[in-house]
Amino acid sequence: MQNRCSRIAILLLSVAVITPITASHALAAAPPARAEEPSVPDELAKQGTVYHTISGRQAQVTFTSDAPLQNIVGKSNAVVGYAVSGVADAPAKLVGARWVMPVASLATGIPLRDEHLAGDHWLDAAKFPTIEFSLEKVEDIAATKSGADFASFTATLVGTMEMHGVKKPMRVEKAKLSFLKASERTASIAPGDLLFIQCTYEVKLSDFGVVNGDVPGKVADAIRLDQILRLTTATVAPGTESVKPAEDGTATK
Amino acid sequence: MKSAALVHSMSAAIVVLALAAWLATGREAFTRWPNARLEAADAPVSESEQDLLGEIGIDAAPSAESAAFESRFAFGLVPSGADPAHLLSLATTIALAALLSGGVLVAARIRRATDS
Repeated sequence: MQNRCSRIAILLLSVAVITPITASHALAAAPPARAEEPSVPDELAKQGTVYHTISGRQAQVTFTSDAPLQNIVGKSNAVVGYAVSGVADAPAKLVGARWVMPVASLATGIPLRDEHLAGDHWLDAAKFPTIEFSLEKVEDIAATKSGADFASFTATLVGTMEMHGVKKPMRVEKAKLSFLKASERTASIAPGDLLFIQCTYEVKLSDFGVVNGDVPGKVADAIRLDQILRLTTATVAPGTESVKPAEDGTATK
Repeated sequence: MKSAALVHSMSAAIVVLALAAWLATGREAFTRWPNARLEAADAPVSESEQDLLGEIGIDAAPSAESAAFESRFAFGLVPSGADPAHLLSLATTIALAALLSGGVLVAARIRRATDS
């Protein structure tokens, strides 16, 4: 009997010791949530300068749910996509843009909450792995600042957001767009000409068919999104965070 | 009998160590592990980039009011996910210790029943 007790004890202790070790190895080996950069249609690429989104660095999207019972903040730095600027004298009049964010890349700091967020009761990453925004036009363009090597604008981005399998037209007002020519200063961020897009807007979960009993008590229906996207004319290797200069050596078309 | 006492002692030691780990790692509700993605997302913008962004009218930290995530290990009160690494917690350790001691007690009771 004593032997049996000892065996049980040794077995359970082994499980207790081995599980976290193997689990931490499994965690380290888990691939990060990524999406492939959408390809730029040829007809768009011909119309202006193509900027590729730099991902894998600082948070590109920060969402905030301000509900009566709790505040939740989540971030993603895995947004990929492109923007094609307009003609040289009106670069902010983007002729096209598309961004893709993997749902699984959203992190709230608590893995269990991330699992719930990506689960079928919320964003259902298994069925709808990405959230996408396709730009259709840019309105209300106003120049705000300019210098020898940059030009900044505010504008309204009009497009379609697809989340949870639902497509909704969307207007993102007061977006800031800044175009910078490649220089020594911009090289510390990335090679090539740069484009920064910053905006803040709200989306309603219910508009996208995300319905859950925790809304609105624990999770707000209206989610605030703060975005800052860094884009470069240099090519971004798909699935990586590295950026390399455009093959032709030029930054603009 | 000695083995049973040893198992109970080990269970108690495991609970004490787990409690100490929970206290020592910040008394967090959920277990957490260092996360390279969160570290990158919260990495501060370099001074030169911040200057440049300020110059062109872009706020480098639009979500500054939102707390930065801590990328570190914390032995939580309860598990933080179904991932095996996140199952580790004070609650699961106590459950494991209880299972250990409970198993010994049940085995002893069965033994007594079969002996009598």
